[in-house]
Amino acid sequence: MKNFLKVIIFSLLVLSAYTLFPNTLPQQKSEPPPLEEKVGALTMDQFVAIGADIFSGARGGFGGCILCHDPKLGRAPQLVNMHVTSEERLKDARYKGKATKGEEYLRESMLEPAAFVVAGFGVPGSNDTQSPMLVISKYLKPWEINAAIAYLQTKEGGEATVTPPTGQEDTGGGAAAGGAAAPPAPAKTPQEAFQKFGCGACHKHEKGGIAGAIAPDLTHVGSIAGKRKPGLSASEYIQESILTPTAFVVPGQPPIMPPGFGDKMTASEFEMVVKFLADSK
Amino acid sequence: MRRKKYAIGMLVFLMVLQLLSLSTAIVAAAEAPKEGAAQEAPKEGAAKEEAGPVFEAPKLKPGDYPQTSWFNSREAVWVASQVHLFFGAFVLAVPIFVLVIEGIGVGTKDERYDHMSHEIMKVTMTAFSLTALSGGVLTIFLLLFYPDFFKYLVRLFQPTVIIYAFAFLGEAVFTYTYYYSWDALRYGTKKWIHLTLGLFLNTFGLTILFIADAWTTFMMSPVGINADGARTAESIWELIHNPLWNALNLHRFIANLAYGGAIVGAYAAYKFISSEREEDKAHYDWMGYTSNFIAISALLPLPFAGYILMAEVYAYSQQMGITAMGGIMAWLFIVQAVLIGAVFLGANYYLWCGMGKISGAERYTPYIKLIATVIICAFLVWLTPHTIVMTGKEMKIIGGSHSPLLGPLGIMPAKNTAANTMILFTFLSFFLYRRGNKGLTVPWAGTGTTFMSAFFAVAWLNIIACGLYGYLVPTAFKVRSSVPQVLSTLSVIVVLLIVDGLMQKNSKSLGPIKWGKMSPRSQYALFLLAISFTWLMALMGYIRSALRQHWHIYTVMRDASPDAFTPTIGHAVIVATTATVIFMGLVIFCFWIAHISTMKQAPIPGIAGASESHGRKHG
Repeated sequence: MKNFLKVIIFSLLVLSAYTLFPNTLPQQKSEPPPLEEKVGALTMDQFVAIGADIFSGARGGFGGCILCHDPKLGRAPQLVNMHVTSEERLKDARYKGKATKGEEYLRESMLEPAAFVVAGFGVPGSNDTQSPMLVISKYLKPWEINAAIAYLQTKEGGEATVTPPTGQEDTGGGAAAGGAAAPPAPAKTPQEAFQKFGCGACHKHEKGGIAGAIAPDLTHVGSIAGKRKPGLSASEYIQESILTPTAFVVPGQPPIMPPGFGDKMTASEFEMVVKFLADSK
Repeated sequence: MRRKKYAIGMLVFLMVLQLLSLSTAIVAAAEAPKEGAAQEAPKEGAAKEEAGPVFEAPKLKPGDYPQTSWFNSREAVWVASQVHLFFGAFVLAVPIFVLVIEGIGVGTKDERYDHMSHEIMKVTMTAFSLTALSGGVLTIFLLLFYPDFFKYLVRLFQPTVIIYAFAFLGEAVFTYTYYYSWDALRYGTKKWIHLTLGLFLNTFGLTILFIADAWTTFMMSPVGINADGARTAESIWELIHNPLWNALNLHRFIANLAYGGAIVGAYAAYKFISSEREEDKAHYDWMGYTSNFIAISALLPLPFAGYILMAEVYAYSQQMGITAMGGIMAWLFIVQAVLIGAVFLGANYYLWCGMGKISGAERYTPYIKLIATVIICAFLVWLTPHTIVMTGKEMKIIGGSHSPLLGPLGIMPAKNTAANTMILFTFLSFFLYRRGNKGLTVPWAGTGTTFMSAFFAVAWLNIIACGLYGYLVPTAFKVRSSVPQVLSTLSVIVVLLIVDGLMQKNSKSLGPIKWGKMSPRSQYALFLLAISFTWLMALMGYIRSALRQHWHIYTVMRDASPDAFTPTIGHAVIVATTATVIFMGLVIFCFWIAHISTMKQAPIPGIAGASESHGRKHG
């Protein structure tokens, strides 16, 4: 019996170590994209912003073009100056597609990537005749592909030639088609909001259920926020930190907070998060 | 010697027979759907309603997933499937393991192998029932919580489900026949009949494994269906032979062998520390060593099989590959590195302790420190992450999330070099253990040893050089440079075993191996191996499954349940630990049942038919 207990204790200690170690690592939950959406009329700016989200992976369910087209990683060609580059590709002797305009080329490169494979980025052994690019139509609906095109055309100053949805057309793909979609439903609790916006990748908040380790611990932020900047209350300071992260960087901390959460959050989410943090004392 | 060759020849012949029978099952599976396809395919030009029962993947909504307030449905299915998989791996692995040992026993005419394989099969009998029970629980949970998905998948794979059921029946028949005929078919020609029974048992076992793998991998890399999930393949073989099937078959087959060895090793370790008689200690020490030997022999090629699986994942979907290695799952590979390191260190520690009981092995003792240092360094490299968890202050001092000093150790060339180094030096531990009490008598012993040392050194240098080369070239070449690294490791194993085998011809013994003279502490290395293997299977199984993200069938059938999210690492490992604890508890139950079956109560005077001989306590 003594030996049996020793073995059990040893086994439980080993299992505890294996379980505790991963809990010290950055914790992030990945939400699926919403099941249904109704796309209404969008302005070109809204349309381009959705394209930017698709590109960066901010829209759930699709890792984003940047996963492969990140210039630092060199997995796939860089997508810079695409309003010019797309026109140039059509003139390339190796081009065998059907596009006649830059916009068509960009669409074709997503739907039929083998039509033109940038030299050096083909499937190994295919002499750049096959593309390793995923079948994008499985992830994006036609209007979303157009949004990505609009973003690529405009991000270095070009003009978008695609038309944003007017709200009348069939946006393609119904419920559960699995495509990326409009912004997910608003978070109902601060914890949900933290997960939704990935705050846990950097920040820690014990009651908020996040355990990041590379940015300030927010567990008791409410007790110090009011002292950060003269003239700003705790709530005002927190609001500013979310809307304009560079306005005040905590001494000793790197300026790594991404901007743009003010645009991504709904007003109710923003209010809820600010109140929750200000009350975290 | 001739008998040994004959025995090996017969085993090879039986293995071929086994593969042939397996291929028959697969062909049957491939042929079966053609009839179904003919019935279900839409008639050209006919209206859809008239075309017969064409079925598509249902477009589900959250309400299609029944929930219960008692427990979380996804976690119930997760734990049930993991526990079933543990048992499945155990009862499929042990018969392979047992057949190999029984074959070795026939070849070497050493009855210890026969006793050991018989004893291990006894433990498996209870595990077999628990496998069926856990499979039943899993099926009930799937029907309860994921009814539409389960129905769709079963319908799509209908012929294989029927074959699976029959294979399970065959497995049951041959398991019981194999075990209960052991003493009746123990010697001479009858032993060959017994081995054949074992072979059939394994044929059914592998058929079950391969069919289950087909379903699993189809969910990750579906082929033969269109975007709506309607079948387009003419033959079900297309669905079975999906891009990841072979890679997973290979990986699971090798992993099961290692797993079977580890669990049996833990059993032997427990019996060793519980035994009081010297001969029992000697028996279980030897059993522990043999199990560990088989577990580690299977563990050495396992990282390569894992590498092939991941390469296939990348080839099928770059997105999926990046999710695994560069996205949300990346940290789990660091956890995996810790586990693999623990396994390698545990296995080596056990061997080093074992060298203490081998007369003559003391000449290799100084090398142990060197081997330990190299393995620990390689372990540290393997677990160094690319992005280091730091406080903001630390990050500011370093200048980013990547350490300029340790950052380079976080990428693939360093990992491949570390993995190959660990394998190479673990092999060296085995090699020295094997040579422990051998006094070489061949005249070229010195030259041979020098040759082997040089070969080992050159191979290791080549592994390091290929790793360094990986830093200088683009990603595609980085990946390719891993091939010569693997070949270097494998060539060392093959060449050294061959040359050493020749050198040991007519070698003289420097003394006996004192079986049973092991410290109890060394046995904990075997427990560590079993626990680590089990937990690692749960962790890696989660990663493989989670690569589908919010899809039941990747990019075809969406998981619309409220639990479609990918959980945090902490959440996932708690589920893995829960499944491991449940499994370990049940395995202890199996061991206890096997033990209690050897006990008999002392007779009570006055009971008719009670006698001294019946009342004796065994074991």
